[in-house]
This record gives sequence, structure tokens and C-alpha cells, in this order.
Amino acid sequence: MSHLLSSKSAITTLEAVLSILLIIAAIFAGYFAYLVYTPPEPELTVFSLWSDAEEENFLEALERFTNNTGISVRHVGYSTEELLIAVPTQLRAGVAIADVVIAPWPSWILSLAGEDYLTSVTDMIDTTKFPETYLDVVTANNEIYGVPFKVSGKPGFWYRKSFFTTNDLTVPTTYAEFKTLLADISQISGVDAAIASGNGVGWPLSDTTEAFIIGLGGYQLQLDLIFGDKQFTSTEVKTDVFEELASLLQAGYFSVPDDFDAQPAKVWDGTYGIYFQGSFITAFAPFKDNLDDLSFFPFPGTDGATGAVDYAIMPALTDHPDEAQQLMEFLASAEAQEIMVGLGGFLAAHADVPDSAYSAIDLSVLQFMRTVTVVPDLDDSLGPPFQTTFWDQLKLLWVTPTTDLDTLLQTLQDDWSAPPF
Amino acid sequence: MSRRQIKIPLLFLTPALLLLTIFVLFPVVNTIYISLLNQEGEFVGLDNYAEVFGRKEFWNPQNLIEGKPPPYGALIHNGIWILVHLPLSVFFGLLLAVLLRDVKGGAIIKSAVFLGVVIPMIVGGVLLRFIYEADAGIVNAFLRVVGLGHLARTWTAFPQTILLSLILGSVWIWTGFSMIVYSAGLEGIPMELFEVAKIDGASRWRTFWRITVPMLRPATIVVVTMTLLWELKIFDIVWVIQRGGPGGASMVMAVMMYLRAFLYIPSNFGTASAIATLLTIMTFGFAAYLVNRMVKS
Repeated sequence: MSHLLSSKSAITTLEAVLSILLIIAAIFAGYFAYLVYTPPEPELTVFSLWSDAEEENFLEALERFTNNTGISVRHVGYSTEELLIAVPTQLRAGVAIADVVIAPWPSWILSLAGEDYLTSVTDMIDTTKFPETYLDVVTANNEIYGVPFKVSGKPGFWYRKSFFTTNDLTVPTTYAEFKTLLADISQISGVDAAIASGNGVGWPLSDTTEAFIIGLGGYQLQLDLIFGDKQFTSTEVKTDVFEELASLLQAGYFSVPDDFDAQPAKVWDGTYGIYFQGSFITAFAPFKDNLDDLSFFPFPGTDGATGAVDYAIMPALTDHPDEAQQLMEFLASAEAQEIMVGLGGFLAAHADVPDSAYSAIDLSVLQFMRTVTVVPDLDDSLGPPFQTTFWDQLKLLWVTPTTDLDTLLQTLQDDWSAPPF
Repeated sequence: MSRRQIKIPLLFLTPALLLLTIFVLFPVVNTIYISLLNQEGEFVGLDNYAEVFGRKEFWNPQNLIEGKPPPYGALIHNGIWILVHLPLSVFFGLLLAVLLRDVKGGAIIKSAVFLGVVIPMIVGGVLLRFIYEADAGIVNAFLRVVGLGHLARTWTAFPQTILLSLILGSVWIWTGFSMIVYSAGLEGIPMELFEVAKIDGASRWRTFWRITVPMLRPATIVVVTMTLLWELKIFDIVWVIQRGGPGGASMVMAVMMYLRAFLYIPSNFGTASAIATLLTIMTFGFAAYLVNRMVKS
């Protein structure tokens, strides 16, 4: 029994010694780790709607920022609804996961500013370098809350030049010629529909519809609808725009809506003839790989075009305000925007980005936008609930063109509310 | 029971009651309270409820009365979910449980059927999108194979077909649950009853109708209760596929509530809470009745 006790004591002593040695080693290891440990530079987080090609391009600009400042940046791409919902929810919970958010909705931005969730960027930018119209819509109480970063023109219908040449099609200059073109394209063997329809949550359809509003009713009609000077239920809107659009849908000129980034490939392989889209579409394959064969024509006879602006905003609750401000100032600079321009599908908001930085196709968009009156995007300006209703009703119109227009337009009017700017 | 005898059980129940109060009772009461306020936080009584019922998005029976396709309003859509989804889920669940009871490999088949219940509903919604897609979907592929290719379309894109498409897709997802419950219920039926029936010369159908079905009553109540709750709070599938569209043709109360609370600018928590309260009342009403029946049986 005593030898057992003594062996048990020996084990205990050995364990004690080992434990002490381990503790000492841990203390030394911790001390040396502390000596060599360098706190990492704060990593900024940016939220945006961009993915695929647009995200790749944006990451290149962020890489330049990191090279310039040593501040690393993490980008997280969100869907439209995720961004619309996640950011306000996080901010109301007292948390800003994103240090910078890039979003195209002025009403949403001003609603966040109204709840004091955003930092004013008035002192971060040179206001003389941006069009007033871009800044006015994100200004409240003389404070600017968004840095105009990217402009997307909605110039018109994109098409493959060789497709037109091969099939003896001509670019229309009047609306009557446009309808003839649609009929001609529809007759071509292998073509499912003359016009590709983009889908997603609904914004590609709203962009197309706004082209008809502006093209058939004038840019002033778009402005009147945004600010409530005209109603959706007015005869002009119904007869001149929606009845005309419905007639083209009933004639089968529009395809069934499909993912907006899948449609360029179908335009390229001749499944569809033309595609109404924003200028950012030139960054998507196969368009971006065949820019020489790509072109667009505006809505015949139009006096305006929609220009959407992606704004960078800075939550007031960010944990890295100084670093976030540096990023905001970078995004507001000609340097950042010129990088994006060079990658394609991007129109700069900054006045100092030279025309020479643009590809031929993007420059043609820019030059076209300078010849017309640029007006805000209708649903982006008004925001939800109008925006979600607009998208939803247009999805209905596209699949059921015989839907009662009075009911549809009344539904839109019921959800209209004055924009916050 | 003496006071001392009551105290001890109560003591053990206190932590659970505390959690229930904080995470269930308080949110419910708070939601009801918010439903009585406007966006400025002022008390407006039942105005939010009146606004909800006044919207065609919630209540639009005219289209239904006139025999037109949806939208009929979220309340009616949820009702259609119950009327179609519930009997189909119960029927197919019972059918599969009976058919696969003594089949070799039945366990594997049951596992495959049950997969629908365990996948996240968002994933289920994405799957349904592709299943119903015009070119790549299996539904349309089947139609082409049987010579009905002219019917092929993206079934979830049209107001005439989206509601039924979602409901039938949900039957496919949910049937695994009712099948498993019925399978367990079948195991609990004493074999002697079937033996006696056999000896007495009862047919299979008579045995099924007079013994199996009555003995499965507790399981049926469980299936009906849980399925009803599923149908009342359905959200994920509807949201993923068309966000309640097109034109509100697939709108349900949970989606309507979500839009108002989180997507609208400014958020309308008052009307969202009103919808949530209506959902709670309906859910509680059904659940209380069915649980009462279950306890009595």
C-alpha cells in the first residue's frame, strides 16, 4: 500500500512540474507573440449590389486604394432586397457592418440620413466636379449624404451589328421604323422574340418601360410622374405609353423575362434581336468580349434618357470613421472613377475623367447622353412601396399583356408618394 | 394539493415560464400594441387593421367571384393554400406511409421523400423555380415526353398558374412530414386488431377504413395542426419565386407583412404588426381547437 502511495505522489509531483513548465512556456510564448504582433490595419467592409463582372472591376479599384493607403477592403455583394433590408436593420440595431455602402436609391439614402444613420459627405467632395442634379437628390438640410460614384446611362437598345448587317436590318430613326424593325426581326428564322426582356426583381422591365415613357411622352412626362404633376391614370400615360407598350407585348415582340445577365448571350446568338439595357451591360460577356460588333440605338425620337447614379454612403456608426472617410474620398476622386471607366461599363460622375479614358462604345453612350436631357430613374427616385409595386405590375403586364390597364395604372398611382428630394 | 406541493413544481417551471414570457409573450403583446399605433407612434386604434382590410392586396374577392385569375388578396390566397395543400399533404402522406410500410427498401424511399422537409425552404423555393422553368424545368420536360409540350411554360411566371404551382410544389416539399408522422402512427396500431379483422373476413379496404384510419386519428390531428401552421405562415417559397407577384397573384400575409416592415420607405410597422396580429389570431385559433381535440382524443 505504501509503495502505491509513494508512486501516486511521484506522479503528482511530475504532473505538477510539467504543469508549471507549461505555464511558464505559455507566458513566454505570449510575451514574445506580443512583441512581434502588429495589430492589423483595419479592414473596411463595402456593401454594394455588384457581382460577377461589375464586382471584378470594382475590386480592381479597391486594390488601388489598398495600395495607396495600406487599408485593406472587403467587398460584399448583395441582392437588391438584401441591401434594402439588411443595412437599415443593422443600423437600427446600432451596428454598422459596412463602413461604406454603394446604392442607387436617393430616397432610401435620404431616409437613412433622416434617421441620422449617415455621415454627411459635404466636406469630403469637391462639389464643383459633379453635376448639381446628382447632388441635389441626396441633399437634405444643405448636407450631402452620397458621393456620386458611378453613372449608368440607359441609352437605348443594344444590338449586334453583324446581326443587323446579315439580316438587312436598319437602325430606326422614327417610332414607325422601330415597329417595322420589330416586325422584321420577328420574321427572322431562329429568332424567338425581337426584344429580349431582362428579369430579376423587376428593374430591367421598369427601365424598358421608362424608355417608352420618355420616348413616347417626353422627358418631362417622366419628371411629372416622379413629382406628381401628372398621374399614372392620366389619359396621356395610358393611351400614349401603356397602351402602346401593351400592343407590342401582345404582338409577341418581347421575350418572356429571364435573368438580365443571361440575355446578352441570347442576343449574341440571335435568339433575340435587340435588348434595352443600361450602359453597364457592356461589362458583361459576351458583349464585353465583342465590343467592336456591339452598338446601340436610342429610342427613336426620344428627347431624354434615364441616368442612374450609384452613390457611396458612409454609416455614422462605422467603427473606422477615419479609414472609411479615406475610402469615400478615394471613390469621389477622378482616380478611382478613371480606373472603373477603363474597365468598361462604367460612366464616371466626376468631371475630370477624360473622354480618352473610355472605350469607344462607352464613349458613344456618354456622347449620346450629352445630347439629351438626363432624367432620374422613376422607381429609384420614389423607392418602395411604389418601386416594388411598379416592378410587380410590370411583371404582370409582361406575361399578361391583356391585363386591365386601368387597374394596373390605378395600382401604381395608389402607391405613389412624393420623393424626399 | 397543498401550498407547499404547488410551490415546488412552480419553482421548476419558473425558468421556462420566464423564457416564454420574454421571448413569446412580450413580443406578442408588444406586436399587438404596435399594431394600434401609426408611423409617428400615436395611438390610432384599429386604423391599421382597417387599412389592411381596405387594400386589394389583402382582400380582393371580386376577381374570385367573377371567375378571374388571381390576385384575390393575401387572406384569400392563404385560404386557398389551406384548402388545396392540407388535404393533398394529408392524403399523400398517408398513402405513402401505408404503401411503404412493408416494402423492401421502404426506409430508403421514405428518407428520400423526407428530404424535402429538412432542406431550407429558401433552397426549396429555388428548386421549385427551376422545376417549373420553361426550358430547363422537369415539369415541362415531362409534358413534352407525354406529348403535351404545347403546355410548356414557366409556370411561376403567370398569375393564372403561379398560386397552384407554389401550392403543389409545397405539397412535394411537405408530404415527407405527414408521411413520417403517419408511419409512426401505423407502428402504434396493435397488430391484433388487423388479425381479428382478417379472421372475420374483412376486406383490405374495410380494414383500412374501419381500423387504420380511426386509430390514426391522433397522428392526423398532429399532421393537420402542423400543416395548417405551415400554410398560414408560408413565406420562403413565395418570396424566392416571385415576391408575391406577378401582380400580387401569389401574395400571402407573411410576405405582405415583411414588405411593410422591412422594405417600405418609411417602414410601416403599424400595418405590419396588424397583419402579424391577424396571423397570430388565426394560428392560435386553429392550434387551440386542434390541440384541444388532440388532448380529448
